[in-house]
Amino acid sequence: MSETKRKWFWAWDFDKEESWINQMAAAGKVLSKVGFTTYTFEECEPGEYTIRMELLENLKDSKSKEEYLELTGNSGAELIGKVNRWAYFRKKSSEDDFELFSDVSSKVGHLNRLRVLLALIGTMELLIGVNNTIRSFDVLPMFGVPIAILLIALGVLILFGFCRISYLRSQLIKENTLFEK
Amino acid sequence: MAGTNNALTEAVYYILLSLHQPLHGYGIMQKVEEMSGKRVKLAAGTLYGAINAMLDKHWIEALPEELDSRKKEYVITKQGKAVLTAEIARLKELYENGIAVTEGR
Repeated sequence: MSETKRKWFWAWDFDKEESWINQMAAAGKVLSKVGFTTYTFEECEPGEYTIRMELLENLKDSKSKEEYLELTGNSGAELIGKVNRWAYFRKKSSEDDFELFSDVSSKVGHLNRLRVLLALIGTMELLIGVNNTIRSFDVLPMFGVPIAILLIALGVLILFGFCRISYLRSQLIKENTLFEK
Repeated sequence: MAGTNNALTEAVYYILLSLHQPLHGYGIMQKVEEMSGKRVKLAAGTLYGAINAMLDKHWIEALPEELDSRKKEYVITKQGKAVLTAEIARLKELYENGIAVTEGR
């Protein structure tokens, strides 16, 4: 018996999204299908699965993507689905914890992918918002200004997300000052 | 990075060692686990990122693909071997200084 839930997470809260999905798995409901804001769960033994999310690299060709998915498959992980560049994997729990990244430098590299994306989109929203504000004063202030303010607010929010990911990244690096892992 | 004092990550070090024979991605995982007595288990994302970074630096290369096999195999290059030799010299220094001080030789 499957059940579908709707839930919204910001991209910069992907760690919270992942732990919510894992809490579901610990309670006997494992993610079986994923879509934009929708999560479909099926029944499993409590704790049978671990789920990991990854913002896939922007790979040039589909062959590299295939190669990567084959590698994750070989190591026992199953691709549940993809939403944009986000991939959701699950693996049956064993004595080893399921991780997509086994050392700090690759974990930092993963966060860097997300940081670059957020910085780009956030800055773009801000620039378009500011640009619209200036222009719409001359033409259509009643209509243009609210939209511009909305864009600026969204830009600020996304840049806040950028800061959160940067903070997580700096925590990882700090942990690594004593041990190379 | 060749010729500088930068330490290699454990993952990169073991991947370079394992690629003294041609291996595909999953083969690298298995070989590294075996060499390190099951201590170093490379996760897929870590391995794939390292492979791409080392291909860019020409430390390893992909072998021409055979018609009947879908999996790409990789092997260490001359440049990769030079990086590895420098790293082993660095590790030797660390090791010898460690022994000399702690055992008071």
